[in-house]
Amino acid sequence: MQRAYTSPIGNELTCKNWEIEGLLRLFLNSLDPRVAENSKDLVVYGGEGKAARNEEAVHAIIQSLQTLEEDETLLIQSGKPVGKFRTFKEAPRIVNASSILVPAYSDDEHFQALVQKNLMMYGQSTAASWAYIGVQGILQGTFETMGEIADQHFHGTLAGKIVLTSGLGGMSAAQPLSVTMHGGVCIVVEVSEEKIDKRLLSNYCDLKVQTMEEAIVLAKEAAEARKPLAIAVVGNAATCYRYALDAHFIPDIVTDQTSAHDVTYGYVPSGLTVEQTKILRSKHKKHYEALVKETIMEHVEAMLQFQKHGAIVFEYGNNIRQQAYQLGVQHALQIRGFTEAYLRPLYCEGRGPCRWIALSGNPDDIYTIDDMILQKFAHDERVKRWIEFVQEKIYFYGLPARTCWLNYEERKEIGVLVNEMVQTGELSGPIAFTRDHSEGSTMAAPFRETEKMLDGSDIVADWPILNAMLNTSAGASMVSIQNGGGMGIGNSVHSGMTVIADGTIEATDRLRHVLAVDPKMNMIRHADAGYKKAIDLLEKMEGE
Amino acid sequence: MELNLYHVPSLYKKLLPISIEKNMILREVDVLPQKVGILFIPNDKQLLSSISVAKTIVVMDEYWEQDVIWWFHQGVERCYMMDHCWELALTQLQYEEEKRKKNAYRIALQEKFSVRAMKESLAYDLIHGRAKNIREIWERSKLAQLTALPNTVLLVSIDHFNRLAKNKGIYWKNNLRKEVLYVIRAQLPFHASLIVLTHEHQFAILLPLPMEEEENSREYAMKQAVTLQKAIAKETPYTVTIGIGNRYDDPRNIHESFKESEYAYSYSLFTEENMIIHIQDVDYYETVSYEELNRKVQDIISVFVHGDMDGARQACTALFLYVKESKVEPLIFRLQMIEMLSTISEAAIQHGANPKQIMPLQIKYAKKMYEIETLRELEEMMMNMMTQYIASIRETNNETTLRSVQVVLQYIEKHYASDVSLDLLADMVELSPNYLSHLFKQTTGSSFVDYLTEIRLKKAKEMLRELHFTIYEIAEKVGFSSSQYFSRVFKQAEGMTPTTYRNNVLRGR
Repeated sequence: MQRAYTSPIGNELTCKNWEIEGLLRLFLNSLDPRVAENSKDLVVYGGEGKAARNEEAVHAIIQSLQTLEEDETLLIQSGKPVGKFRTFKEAPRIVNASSILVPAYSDDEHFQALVQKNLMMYGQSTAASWAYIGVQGILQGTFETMGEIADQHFHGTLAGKIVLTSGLGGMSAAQPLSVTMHGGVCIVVEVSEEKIDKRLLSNYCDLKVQTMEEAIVLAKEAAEARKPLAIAVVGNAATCYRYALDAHFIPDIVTDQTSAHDVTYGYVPSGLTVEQTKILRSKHKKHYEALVKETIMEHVEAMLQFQKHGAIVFEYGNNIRQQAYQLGVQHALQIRGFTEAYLRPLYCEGRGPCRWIALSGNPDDIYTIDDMILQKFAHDERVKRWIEFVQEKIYFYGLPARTCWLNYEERKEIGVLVNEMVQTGELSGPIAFTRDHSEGSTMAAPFRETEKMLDGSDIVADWPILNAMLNTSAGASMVSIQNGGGMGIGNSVHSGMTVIADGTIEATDRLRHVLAVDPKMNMIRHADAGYKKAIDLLEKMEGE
Repeated sequence: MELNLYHVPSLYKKLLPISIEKNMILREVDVLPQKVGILFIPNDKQLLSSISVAKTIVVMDEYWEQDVIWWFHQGVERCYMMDHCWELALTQLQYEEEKRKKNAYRIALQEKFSVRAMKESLAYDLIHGRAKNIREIWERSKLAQLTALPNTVLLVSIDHFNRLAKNKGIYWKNNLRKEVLYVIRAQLPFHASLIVLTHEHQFAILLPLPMEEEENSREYAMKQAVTLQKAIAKETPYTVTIGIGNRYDDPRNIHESFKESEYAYSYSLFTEENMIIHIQDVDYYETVSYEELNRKVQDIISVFVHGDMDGARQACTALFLYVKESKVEPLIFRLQMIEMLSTISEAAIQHGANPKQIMPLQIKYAKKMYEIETLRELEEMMMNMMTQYIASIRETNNETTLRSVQVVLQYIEKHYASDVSLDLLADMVELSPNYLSHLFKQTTGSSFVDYLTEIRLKKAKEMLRELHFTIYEIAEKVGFSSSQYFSRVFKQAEGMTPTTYRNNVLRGR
């Protein structure tokens, strides 16, 4: 049996310095069976998102990093190391490009043909850039969305409010927890009872019920008492939404995170169980597809009805609006997307999904940084609420890591502060700083991150490329550019970056530069598109 | 632990102020000791290889920030400047040390029990699912001096504890447990295991098993269990059975592993002692025909109520055979046995047993039912219980049973010529055929069939002497189905055929 990949822990180096060692540890950590969805096939997450092209490439990457000199740069092409070059000590140790095709051929068909020939791999977002840290990353995106809804509509809290949503898969499971984190009540519909049981075990949901009727009664009671509660209902989303409408139950917020983006393998039609769907899909594909279409239409029509009756309704990036629109639901696009509605205001202030990973493997390092953040950024209520909550709820699988949405000022400062902590021995080992691919500047995705930009620049993909080049110039330890991400080949271009805080003076410089240019570019991207908040903040910064 | 000022090789002597030398015990050593209370050394990094830095105070004649950072990285307690404040600090340390010495016993107890209490409270909170805050769990694990969080539970049960501890005092029981516990502790690293008592004879051990392959987690756990089991068998006169739960990385879910270990252990009912049972080896979701199990239990009851011990024994054997071969859940089976015990007690009382005798017996066996460890013991217990119950019924019903045999004898006397069967008679006196047969033999000294044949032959001989009937007619009149059969039976009993018998009688006349 092949031994599982896990990152080394402790302070013993297997590479020439901590910068290279850090990248190797991130790579192995993303393949750790406790972190990756399917470690054996090198799949980190999100369907086929891989960290390396094949087993051979895994060994070649390990070997290349272990022999890489301090002034060399390793080139990785779609998960395979293809060469080492002598550059500068300050240059990135790794530059990486994944899943990128010539635009005219950038579609799934061409891509799959190349995958079959073993010439490419799908890098998803943080899979190919070795920055995946499991469910915590997803959790905070959802937490920020719910926080912004609370801020925009309910005076900063969801207490006494009911959210109706669906899906308890790898990504969507973050929803109920994010709602209860903000004090709200969540009814989440999931067709697979097995998934519900799994989420009950990991404390993402509080209770399971078999009917929507029970869920509504319990949700109303909890909301009235202003008590947070996450109720999982066994059922089909479209059917349950329709039931709620017929029962004249209008939640405060309605969204959905079923696998509607994958109508071939993900979505379960109304009236069928997961097992029945599998059989129908394999034996009567056409019949299955017809049922899926019918259900998606019913599902979105119900969401539109909720909107009509005063609920806040938005799509959570699973493309269900577009699917329904193409099937003939005329007003489907009246439902807003979550990024455009709730995350863009945060991007305008340079706030984004920063994350750091303790390369020593010691959870203490993360908790010590948490404490420092709670002290230094005590004014940022949202950060405080997140850190306190996540400390309680999230167990570290693989290398201990923390994700935290910080604003421009905080991101600019944190790297240097942490590097000092490494230097003084307050932390037991170096820390890797990285982030998700999800801001307007790091991800060009017209159906999500750059949907409905003010100036109509939704499909402009210069920004993530510029971001990668800028981070390279600023001294990031690893820079990557990718195609596809969570939206599929041809639907997005995005970039990732990582810097290692190893306690050296050189690292201080790298962190100071990278963690300033990366979020600032996000502000510039939004200011350029005409967003007033970003323009004002940039002007204020220049004035200072 | 003493507070000593160790004098480092003479090279450094000049660094130490005279006043300190006067106040402190000064020892000349060439090599610095590893285990001392607090060691004052000059700022010399080369000394690091020969000292234990944990309780060391570094004395500096010059203040260099980089030096201070360096020493702190090595883990020294404090760094002092030589010129002024360190004498004061030293006095303070001396005072603290004096205070410490005065409270030595209390401090020793505190040291001993605080970590132990931390470990135990963490273990109990984890196995009962009460610990929910991940950071809190991590911090508590550090206070409990753990180096890694546990992910798997092994439930170690001392085999035959109740039998071993019968009629013994509490200290004896404690010592038995301690013997086993010492061996367990010696086998497991202190900083990587939590051990708590969960039952009089059971310890839950929470371990952080290594992660290499998901599929390997069972093998790792089994390997650990085998090591423990062998060590216990070698070092103590006892054996243990170990139930093992699945691995759960998130410590908040380790209560699932504990539940599984208990469930796995419950299957020891179907094994002998000294076993290891992993949850993956028991058919967790196997469905069993409980109708069949119920039917078999009913079989025992229905035979038993007719006082048929042989029948009850046979039915009981059939039940245990079925349980062994099928996938009955041990807990359900135990409950069923308790229910059967109550039904049988009721039936015994209804059939004449003395309630004053039965009730204490029922309580005694119900208690035993919870203590029993193997199926073999349970089967033995059931047999003993039924024998005792039946004896009780018989004792009270002696007169009644004699009357039943009397009725049967009278009936045979009157109806020997017709088709008399044991079933018919048993039905008549409301006893089971087997039990009646047993009673009949016990009372008359011969079996029912032999007795009936004897009566028939006796009547036949009378008729043979009278000459009124042919052999064929006599056979029919005394209840034989054919004259040939009658002749065969007659010859067997008398050593001659009926015709020879008649001729001999005639000749004699």
